[in-house]
Amino acid sequence: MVAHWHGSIWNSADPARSLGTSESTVRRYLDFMTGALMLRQLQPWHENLAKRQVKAPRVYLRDSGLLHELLGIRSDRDLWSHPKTGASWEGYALEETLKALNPDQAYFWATHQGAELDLLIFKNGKRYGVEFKRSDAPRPDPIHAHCHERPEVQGDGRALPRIKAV
Amino acid sequence: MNDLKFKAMVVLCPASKPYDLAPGIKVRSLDTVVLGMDLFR
Repeated sequence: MVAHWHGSIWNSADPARSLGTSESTVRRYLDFMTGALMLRQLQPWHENLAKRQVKAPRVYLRDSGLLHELLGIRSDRDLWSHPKTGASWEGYALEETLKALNPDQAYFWATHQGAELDLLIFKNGKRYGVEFKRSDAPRPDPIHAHCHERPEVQGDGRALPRIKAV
Repeated sequence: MNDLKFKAMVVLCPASKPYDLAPGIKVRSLDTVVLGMDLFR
């Protein structure tokens, strides 16, 4: 069941209903699997913005091989045609990025209006954003377009990107 | 008050030539991370 939530915002109500148990029990199962390093719960980042922000964690199976096994993905062809192929890429890239960058803190950010950022990391007091895209040549989406419209310029003249909570 | 600000932002793809999507937003391949190169330069 957790494999179907891979890369999604966690909502304990649905699995609790399916398992015939309480939400707190399901959350305890989730915490247990997180403690066993089987799952990663990426916590949401909150900021004092005028928009409503998501406050539930995103869950990822940390081993993409295990994810593929649980989803019945046996070959490359199965993977490319599976609706979870994007989430699989996102989870794999997330794990590799966190392993390589070793940030001080890691979050995701999303609003209920649909704006989101896959990974927000803090390292040495600075804030960095990371998006994971399955396509080879991603094009600007409305969030990126906004960054282009109103870049905040740093002291060295480079633009400081911003994301608007749309 | 509506904006989330960053020092830098990167879009990671399976395989891509490095290019800039917009000022301050870079597109890089995951190899950049795995090989230990500075992602945000």
